[in-house]
Amino acid sequence: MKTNLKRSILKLALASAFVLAGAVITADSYAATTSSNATATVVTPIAISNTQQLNFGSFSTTAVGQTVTISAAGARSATGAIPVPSSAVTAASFNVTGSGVLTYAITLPASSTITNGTDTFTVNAFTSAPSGTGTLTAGAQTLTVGATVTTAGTLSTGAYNGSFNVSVDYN
Amino acid sequence: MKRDNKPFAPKLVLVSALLLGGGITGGNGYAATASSMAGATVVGNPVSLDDVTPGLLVSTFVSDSTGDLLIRIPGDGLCATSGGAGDVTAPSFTAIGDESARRTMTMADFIALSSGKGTLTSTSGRPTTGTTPVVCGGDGRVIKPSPTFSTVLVGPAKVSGPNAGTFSVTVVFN
Repeated sequence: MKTNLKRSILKLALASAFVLAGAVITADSYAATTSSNATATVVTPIAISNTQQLNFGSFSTTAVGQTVTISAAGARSATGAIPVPSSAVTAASFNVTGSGVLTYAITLPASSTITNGTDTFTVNAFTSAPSGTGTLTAGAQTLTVGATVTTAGTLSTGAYNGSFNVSVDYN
Repeated sequence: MKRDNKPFAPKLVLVSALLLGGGITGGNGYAATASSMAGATVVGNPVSLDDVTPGLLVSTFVSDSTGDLLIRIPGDGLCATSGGAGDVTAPSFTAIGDESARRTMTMADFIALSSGKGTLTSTSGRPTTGTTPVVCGGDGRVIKPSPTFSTVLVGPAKVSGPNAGTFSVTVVFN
């Protein structure tokens, strides 16, 4: 009985040894190593600054819903409202700076407002040049923005002012 | 004891980014935003003409020949002619609009003078198309048209007698 027990222990030990040995052999036989380069490029953070405001100029209006549009190129058109031709109009202009020739996404506001304290006009239909995506040249690009203002309220005269945001982000 | 892994999370993100080799290109965290002012000025009612007082552009004049007759009407309504002589009175108009806006008065559609005895025709059909800037100092300012030149053709033969025609004046924002 005691002898049988010793034999059993011996068999178990041998079996375990074979299993362990096989595992080691297997592991060593299939090991593989390679190397890879790790690189990174640090670029200048993209930045944007406003250099010229969006100016719809002077116009008269006789009804709610009349519009004046300034294109991204700075051209004015109107529907219903009567612009004063001698009044200066400008598209908004921004200076976008960053790194090299990277492209970037342009985000325009869906809507904004201008007010004279009495009435508030909606400014929307923003457009830009370039449109959608800009491409830096030597780390810079000029971005111009136009929009449409729609008359509302009591159509009171005077100067209307407001602001809007333009965002840029690397693609 | 519960282990707090939060301090390690940023490091893992950074290492991953470096190994991927994508570079730090300023993703959403590097988006830049700038604000611009937007402005407009609303002026008063559109300019218009009211209280039109028809007048005689040329009351009488004498031409000693046929051909081109140059009639100059300065802003003061006085007459200066070439090829003839006569008196001129200018009609007056009242411009209505916002005083802050400059206006340009445009003489247009000068219709040929004519009479049963002869015709004073224009050389081009619209001889009086000169544009004279007029700056109005306020609403309801009476202004007088002052075409720089009016050229009419006398003929085909010298005629005498009343001649009448019309012309229109347009006042627009400038």
